[in-house]
Amino acid sequence: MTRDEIVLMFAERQAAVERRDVDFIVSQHAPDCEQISPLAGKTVKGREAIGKLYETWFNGFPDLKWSPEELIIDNDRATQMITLSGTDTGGFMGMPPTGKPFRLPVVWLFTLKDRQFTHVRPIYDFTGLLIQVGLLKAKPV
Amino acid sequence: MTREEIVALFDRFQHAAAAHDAAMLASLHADTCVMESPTAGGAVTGRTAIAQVYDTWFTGFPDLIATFEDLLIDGSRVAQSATITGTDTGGFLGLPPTGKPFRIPMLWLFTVNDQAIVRARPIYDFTGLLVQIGVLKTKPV
Repeated sequence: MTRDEIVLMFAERQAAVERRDVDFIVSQHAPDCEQISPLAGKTVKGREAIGKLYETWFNGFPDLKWSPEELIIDNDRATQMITLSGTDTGGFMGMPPTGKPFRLPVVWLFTLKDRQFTHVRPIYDFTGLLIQVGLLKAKPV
Repeated sequence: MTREEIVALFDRFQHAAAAHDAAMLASLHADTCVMESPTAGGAVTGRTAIAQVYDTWFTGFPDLIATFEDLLIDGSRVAQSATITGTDTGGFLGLPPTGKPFRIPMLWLFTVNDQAIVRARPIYDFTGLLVQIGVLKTKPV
């Protein structure tokens, strides 16, 4: 893929996130794409499983804001930095809604082939997110 | 810097990390470099402050190993992924040693100028790290 094609792909991904279009988001992933997911606590494979991850975010945080900041492209790999923010009014990960907001930086590492993502890895402070939204309580030992 | 020069810079970065040489790592940054550091509680500027950030890791985890993975280069912007492992036998962040191990994925975002790193931002599960090494305890709410 050319750099311009990859930039366009990420613009289309952003538009799909903003309209909560999980079908379009997963269509950008190869059928056997693997995503290393802190949310799932494991590597998930395939569009259906990856779609469920996005639904978890969109359902838990109906006001989810996904703000892209930086896109680094190097041949068939890309990294995107975003800031995620939202409020837990929908119930995150099947838990009752807490009504609490969160904000955190997330960095994504992608591998691309034939105009699709074949490997995806988001990295972020998942434990900090759970504390921010009030699903976990933390105290110094 | 050319791509080859950036590759060489990050080769030096990896060797300095393997040697736990905080001064050498800091020397790869401009003295005006800004690092957004979860361990420092925010942004720090300059080689001295940046060396202290690296030193916090090497002191807290004398067996620290950084296994470097993907290096993405896009003009003056760089992403470096790594898996960081270690054991808290030295005392992390000035706290008493817990003797507990950790393992976390990390992704660094860098900007370079003609000579050095001018911006650095590591993204990782900082709270999860504190839980793994036992300086923070969490429980479901």
